[in-house]
Amino acid sequence: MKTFRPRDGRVGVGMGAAALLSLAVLAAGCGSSSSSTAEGTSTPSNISTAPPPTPVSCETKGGTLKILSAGDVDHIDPGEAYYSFSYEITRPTQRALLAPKGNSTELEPDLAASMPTVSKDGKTVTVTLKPGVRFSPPVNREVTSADVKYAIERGFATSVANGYAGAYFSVIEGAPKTPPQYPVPISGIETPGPHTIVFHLVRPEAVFVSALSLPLTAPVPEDYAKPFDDQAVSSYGLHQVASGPYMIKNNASGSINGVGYKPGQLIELVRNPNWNASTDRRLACADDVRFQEGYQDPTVMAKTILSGAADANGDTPPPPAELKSILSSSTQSKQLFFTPTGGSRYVALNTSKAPFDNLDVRKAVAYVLDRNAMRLTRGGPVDGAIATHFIDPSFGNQGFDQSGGTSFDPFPSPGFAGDVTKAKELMKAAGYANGMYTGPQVTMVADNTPPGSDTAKVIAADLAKIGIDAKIISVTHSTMYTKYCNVPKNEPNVCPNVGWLPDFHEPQTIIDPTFNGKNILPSNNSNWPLLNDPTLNAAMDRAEKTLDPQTRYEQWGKLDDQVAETAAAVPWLWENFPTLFSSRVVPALMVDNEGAPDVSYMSVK
Amino acid sequence: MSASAEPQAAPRHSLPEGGPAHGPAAFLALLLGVLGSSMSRYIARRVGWGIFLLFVVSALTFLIFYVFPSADPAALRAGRQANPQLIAQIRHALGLDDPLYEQYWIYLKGIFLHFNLGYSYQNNVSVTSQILTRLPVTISLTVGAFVVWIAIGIPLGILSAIRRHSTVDRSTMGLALLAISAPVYWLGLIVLLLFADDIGKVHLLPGAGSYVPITHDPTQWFLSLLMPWFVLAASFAAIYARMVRGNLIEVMGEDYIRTARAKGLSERRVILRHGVRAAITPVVTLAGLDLGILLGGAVLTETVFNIPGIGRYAYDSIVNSDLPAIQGTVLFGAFFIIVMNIVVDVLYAFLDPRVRY
Amino acid sequence: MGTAEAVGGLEPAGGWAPPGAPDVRSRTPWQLFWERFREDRVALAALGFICFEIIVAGAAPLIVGAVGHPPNAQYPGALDPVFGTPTGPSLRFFFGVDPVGEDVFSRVIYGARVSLEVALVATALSVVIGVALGMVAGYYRGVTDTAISRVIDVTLAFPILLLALGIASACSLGNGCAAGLVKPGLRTVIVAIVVINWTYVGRVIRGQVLSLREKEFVDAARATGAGDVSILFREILPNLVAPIVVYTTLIIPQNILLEAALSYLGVGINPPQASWGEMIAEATPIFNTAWWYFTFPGVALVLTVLAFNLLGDGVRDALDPRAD
Repeated sequence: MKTFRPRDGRVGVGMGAAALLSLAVLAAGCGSSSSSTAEGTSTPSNISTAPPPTPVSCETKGGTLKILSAGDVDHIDPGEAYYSFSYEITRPTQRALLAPKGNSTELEPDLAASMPTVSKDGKTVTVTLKPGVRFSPPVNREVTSADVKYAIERGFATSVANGYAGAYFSVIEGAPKTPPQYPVPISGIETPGPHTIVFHLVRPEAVFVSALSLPLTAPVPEDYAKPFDDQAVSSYGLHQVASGPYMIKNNASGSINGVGYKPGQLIELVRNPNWNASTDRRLACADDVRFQEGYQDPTVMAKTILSGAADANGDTPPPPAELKSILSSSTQSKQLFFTPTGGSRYVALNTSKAPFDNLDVRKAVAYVLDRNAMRLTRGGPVDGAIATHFIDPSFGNQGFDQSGGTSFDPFPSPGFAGDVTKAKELMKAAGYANGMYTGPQVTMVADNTPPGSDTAKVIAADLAKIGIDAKIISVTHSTMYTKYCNVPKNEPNVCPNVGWLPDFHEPQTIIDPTFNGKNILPSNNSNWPLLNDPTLNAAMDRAEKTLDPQTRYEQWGKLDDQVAETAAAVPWLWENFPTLFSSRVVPALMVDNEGAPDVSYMSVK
Repeated sequence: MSASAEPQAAPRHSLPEGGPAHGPAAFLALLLGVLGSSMSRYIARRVGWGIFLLFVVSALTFLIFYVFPSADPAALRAGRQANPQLIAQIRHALGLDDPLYEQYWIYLKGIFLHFNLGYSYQNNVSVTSQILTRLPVTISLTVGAFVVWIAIGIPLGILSAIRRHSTVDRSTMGLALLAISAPVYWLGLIVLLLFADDIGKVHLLPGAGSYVPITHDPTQWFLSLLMPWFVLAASFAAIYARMVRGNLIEVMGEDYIRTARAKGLSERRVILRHGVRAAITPVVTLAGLDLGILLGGAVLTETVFNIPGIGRYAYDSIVNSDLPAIQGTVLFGAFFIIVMNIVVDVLYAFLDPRVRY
Repeated sequence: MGTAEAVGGLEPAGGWAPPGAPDVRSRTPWQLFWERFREDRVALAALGFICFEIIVAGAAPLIVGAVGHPPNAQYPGALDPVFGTPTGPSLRFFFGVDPVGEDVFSRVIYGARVSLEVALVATALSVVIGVALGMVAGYYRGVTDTAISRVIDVTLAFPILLLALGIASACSLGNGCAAGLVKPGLRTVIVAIVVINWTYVGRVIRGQVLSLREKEFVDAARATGAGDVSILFREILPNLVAPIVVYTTLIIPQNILLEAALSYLGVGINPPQASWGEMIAEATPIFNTAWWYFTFPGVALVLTVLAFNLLGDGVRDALDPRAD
């Protein structure tokens, strides 16, 4: 998904977004490989992106885990949740058909009994469910394939408003073209038996099986949920039932509102009494899990965790000064883990209007940006390697290697500090006599809080080096997206604070929604540069249908390079997310989800 | 702030929590002079006017926050990659494509028929229930701070007035000015940096985010609120001390005080019995108004100390562009301001026979 | 008050010097005022500080030029190369640098410009609008008065910080609001402040005018055939000088704090412009490690507000010797 967890304490969730997979291939030292070439910047030797081992048993059973966060989940309804912090709650409470295998990005069956079988033509996908999985109170019955079917159907209804159903599940036969107000049956999902579900697709879709790991496939009991879903805005989220080892604490009638869910304050998980451990790999050691929200000061958050009063940071990384102090301590540094987010941050240049409709001007910008200084606004080398294209090193041979790895850098400069001479040459080529821009002021819409606002300031200062006067409009993160960068008719010249995370571990989820011309939407657009190159579009459409993994990775790797060469977006960070655990717990994290703490596997020592 | 003398209503603006309330509505002075009917009719008029004010506030809030929304609620709800039809449908389902007056009418009906301020765009939770569950938190903060500022401000003001020009007076008034000049969010940071048990130089008191309900753990509740109480109370204590001092000095020059002295009462008795009583009356009025403003949420203090009250809710709602929640908190704040204005005016009319109503 | 408000105790108790009171020693009110004011050493010092600050703000380009670090110039070299954390005060950067490597000293100096500009412009506008509407309401009474007074009542029923935030964020989008008249940035902040603040002035002036219009000297002017405009400007306005001055001194420090609070909450000036409130907000997440980043802008803010408050006290005392 999409955008990153907010990295600063002051911003709430706003537009949420989740992150999904990144590969277990975590190139040893991806955090250091490119930065070692940066002038004056060396990566601290003790930074590793190796995850802690997946616990196989509980150190102790029982106790309470406390996770701290600045903001709330984007949506409490598992069918709507689309933000990495929200997945910290959906994973232990909901069982999707597939799930990552422990601390890895590899998928394994979860609610499914085995991996889905795909027909030869790629158009029929069959999944068998595990028997004996039961819903939490007040539903208390066994999960059946009809519950999975209904869960997906409700995602298309406006009362639920799932953000990705259209992207990954509209390929199912009979999926609504126009969203219905309330859930309606989809003919292409069949349930021939209580434990069998069959998906009929209109065409082969390379990433469909991976998409079955999204929380939209977690079962929802229609008999119980339908009355809630038939409201203008579904309130099922506030009455949700669980299929996983934990459930959000509820009252006898099933409501979590004010019980286990106090928005902006607390989400409390308790054991699901109907969970059958023999059907699940999850350990579920603790009796009680508290997500304590409102910790807007990341320093306080880090100190609280270090003191043992809480156990992990849920949505906000420790600030750079804290990282520095933690890494200088031999004991504390063992509690800190860096996880590649699998995505990249970039600066989007609006290719639909002057001056960035000109390839040479865009290239000049790509050369002039001091990506090292930009990275320093987010914490320097520990925050990740400087990006030179879009597919993150954690993808390894699933697209990263194919795009040339770290050696592919179309706009090189010493130490990534920018090359003003080269930039001016390109400006001359674009028709600006002495290499300095002479047109009207350009607009840039940025976050109004650090570190996004700081990054924007660095970019503005760099643009000034080639004569581009950028006016910064600073607004909240959600306003930046919903009012400006996601709305082509309001799109500014520069969107400096955008970034994209994969929904699961397929390079398509990084390149396609963001650079394919067919994905330019009048609102909630995520093709921020408005890139619409017929050749690239056609190549992407082909790759979407390529079922053979190796051919597909080859195709996306090449597309990654071609997009980078357009300079429509200038990537600058392959980000790592630091997760800090208290010394009183056995750490466990979701490698596929920005390293978010995984309470299903953590245990109190 | 006597109801009859407007010039006494200083510009009080509350900025940040700092700010004391404005005095009884100005037009009231006129009304009071012109109308001489019974107290009950007076109260009825005040309440009627208060309700009308709430209507106007709700309409203006609606206009400001809905007509120029800072983010598109339908797009926010739809999530990424939502197609345009989905967004249009959501807009329809939320009633956002109805004419403005219709949306407003529905909103008003919700408030008056069902005491329903709408549902958060973000989590679909009832705004009314959010505000009500956070109300005890805000009450804990503001009432505690109120006690602190009254307990500090009034005695210091009296002391300064009695010992005019003494070292005590000068240092008190100097400190008071300093307290008035420091923004509460900055003061909060300094206090945290000095005394918080997580980041402080001296690990003394629970820091930001340590609030627990009094029903959960009274000791922890008390300790966690100590710093916020004092920080929030600082500027109020300063203002009250200055006000009490000024009033008392003025009162002590009045004829009836001289008479009291002439009757041979002890100076102590004169000051406490006669002087202080008169000097404090306007302060009590002001205190009611200030409390009204703060009960609507101490945005900055709650934000700095991460106290989950109404002010923090307002702040989070603005950051998340959660319009129903913003509107609800503004209306709720206005409600307290208006109610306390009425209470203070009525009380004043009872207490001060000179006020005609 | 704001935070100050200030004034609490100092409400200009009871009244300004009686209008039109003949001065026995035949000195002008201004001379009288100045005689008393210059006795007040604290107020003089505050005035001195404010003048100094105005000079510093005016000469900001020169001062910053001498130091050699423009307020928006970035010095990534001054950041920790590994973690990007800012470094503290040094001989090169007197007040340290911020997380982008900008010189905090230069930015504090430029921040004075924003604070003073907003405070002075917003105050001037509030006072002009408040006085004009207050005079009209008090002089004509009737429907005009009712209309203006109701607007004031409604404004004062709002939680003002939220109202200001609402106006400021509504006008921070696109071309701003009011058909592009109110552009995002400083102007938006000024408008938000004025919308709230004119009401305090308006209410007070209205009350004064209500009583002034009944005075004999007004009747006398009317008897000689003077028109409304002439009476308002020649007879009434001169008698409002004292309350206007007093309220101006009360409002300035409040406006400085209000601007800072809005910047702190994220609406207001656009980067890379420097504002004290915005600097404190940026410093908040790192305040325990980068103490210089919230200390210096904070001290500048407190000192400025303090100076205006002290000056205001002095002015009020000098205008109304009874007060203290």
